[in-house]
Amino acid sequence: MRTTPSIASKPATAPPPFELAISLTGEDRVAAAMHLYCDLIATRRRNVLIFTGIALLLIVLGQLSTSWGGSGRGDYALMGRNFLDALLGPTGILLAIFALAGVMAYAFFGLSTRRRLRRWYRNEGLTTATPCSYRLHEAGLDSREPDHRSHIPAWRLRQLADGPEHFFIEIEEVDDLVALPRRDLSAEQQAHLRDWARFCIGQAKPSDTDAAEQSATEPADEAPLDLRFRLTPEDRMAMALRQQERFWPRSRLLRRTAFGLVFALVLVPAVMLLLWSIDPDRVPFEFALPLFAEMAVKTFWPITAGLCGLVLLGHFATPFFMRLNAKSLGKTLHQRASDDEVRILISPECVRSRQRGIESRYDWAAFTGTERRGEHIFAILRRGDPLLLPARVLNSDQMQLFDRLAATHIGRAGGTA
Amino acid sequence: MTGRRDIALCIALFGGALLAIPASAEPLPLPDGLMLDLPQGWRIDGTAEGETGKDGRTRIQLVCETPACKRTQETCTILMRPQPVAGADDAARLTSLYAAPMDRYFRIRAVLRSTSKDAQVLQPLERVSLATRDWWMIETDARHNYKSGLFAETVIDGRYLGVICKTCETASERHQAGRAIMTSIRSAD
Repeated sequence: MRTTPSIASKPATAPPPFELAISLTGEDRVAAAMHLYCDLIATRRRNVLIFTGIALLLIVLGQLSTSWGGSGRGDYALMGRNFLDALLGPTGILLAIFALAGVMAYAFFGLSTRRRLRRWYRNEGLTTATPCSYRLHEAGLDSREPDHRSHIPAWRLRQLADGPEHFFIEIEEVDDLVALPRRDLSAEQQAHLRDWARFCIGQAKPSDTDAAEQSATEPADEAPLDLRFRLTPEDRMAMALRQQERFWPRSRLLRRTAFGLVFALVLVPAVMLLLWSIDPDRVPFEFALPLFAEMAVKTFWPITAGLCGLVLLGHFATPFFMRLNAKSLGKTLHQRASDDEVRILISPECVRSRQRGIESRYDWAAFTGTERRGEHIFAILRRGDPLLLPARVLNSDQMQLFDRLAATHIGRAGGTA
Repeated sequence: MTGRRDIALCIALFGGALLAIPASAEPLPLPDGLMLDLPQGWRIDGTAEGETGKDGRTRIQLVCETPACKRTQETCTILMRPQPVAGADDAARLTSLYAAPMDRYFRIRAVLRSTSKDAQVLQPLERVSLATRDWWMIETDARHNYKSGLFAETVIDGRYLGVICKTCETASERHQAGRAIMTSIRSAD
């Protein structure tokens, strides 16, 4: 991936403002997420190798301990022979299976992540193309989507990353970026984009910005709700947990458990039938079948019971692990982002958010509803991640007002600029 | 003429009866204090102590040399294991041989393999009583030009004993001599 050249090649004069219109598809959203979280994905991918290595090491250590604890205790040569014999037997098969599974999981991690993202965007109804337009100018980038406009100042832009099928305009210390599919950009537009990026990205923050933000207050009649807060790791955890619980709803978990149980129940008979079918000296079926049935019940029941136990354990432990994962993810995301104050202005006309120079304006039509999960309120957007409002920042009057505004205006078409 | 024919028929029938039911049997001592009655016309191929293979099992080969056996090529092998079978009594020991269904599966597979390709199970593996002793017994039917087999195992005072009889006979009545040998196996004391 190439990125914008250093400031040394910055053009002397600002390029003229220009506009881009693209159609953002589900695949573009997947590419954007893959790019935005590439560091997290790379870490998790690396962890697959680490966990595989640990598993292999534990198996080898277990086998060494077994070989050592045998009859030839103290005889290193015998121990070595036993160990090598075991490596050529079931332990070797187990090691090979684990190693293969680990290498496969590592090799296909990117593909599987992409597949999960696709499923996520499909579930969330974000696969239909959304028309977006961007105005790139000296001061930064203005975007316009249906019922949603935003402004990102030049000093919040990090770089223009050059992906195989997209340009990504990265934003400093925010979990968001702008993905521009190359297919929608002419060669001239791409050249313009590069010129703009060379000039604008890396601009110093204007000195009066903080003061301007501090004094920026909406008249009370225009924005009856003016909420200011900083996102905590717990807030981000709540957001991650909501995503995970939506990705793994109860019905999908139950389906997975049901499939797992069926798999556990049919595995032993299936393996027996497979081995029987490829055995050139197989016993005639009429004699083999009752014996297989008896074997499944009498001999191999611990395997079946163990697998069923693992599936059920997985079922009941999933919410716990989901929470644990969301907690760790929330912490990581919090570390990646800056601790900016978020300001949400809610008025009968629209919902505005401001975060250190980045401004967004959502018409009420952009929302489909609100969702209260514990101490967090999610204002659900038709296209994109929901807006998070920690309940702690609203007193009871504000909460009532918010509920009233949401009930009255959500889904309402139109809205003025 | 009619009288001569009758006499010839009687001689033939009498001779047949003599062949079918051995008039006398010779006691044969086996290793481990066991013995059996060797039917007339049968002999030991090798020594009565048998030969012990690499697997520790002792094999005593018995061969039938009666005129009828010229066609049926009957043989029996007595198999003895060096290690005793664990269990409270012989009935329990015998049960323990095939308590696991997998052992029964692999027993059926092994006997079919040792009979011939495409062999069939004539009598399934089951416990059969011969005289006062129970046996695990299975009988196979070989394809044309191969010997069919009777495979039986028992436990006598904790000692494992197997009998494998093979024959070219294709009629339904087979292994009569083999069954007679099995019936006669007993402790010497």
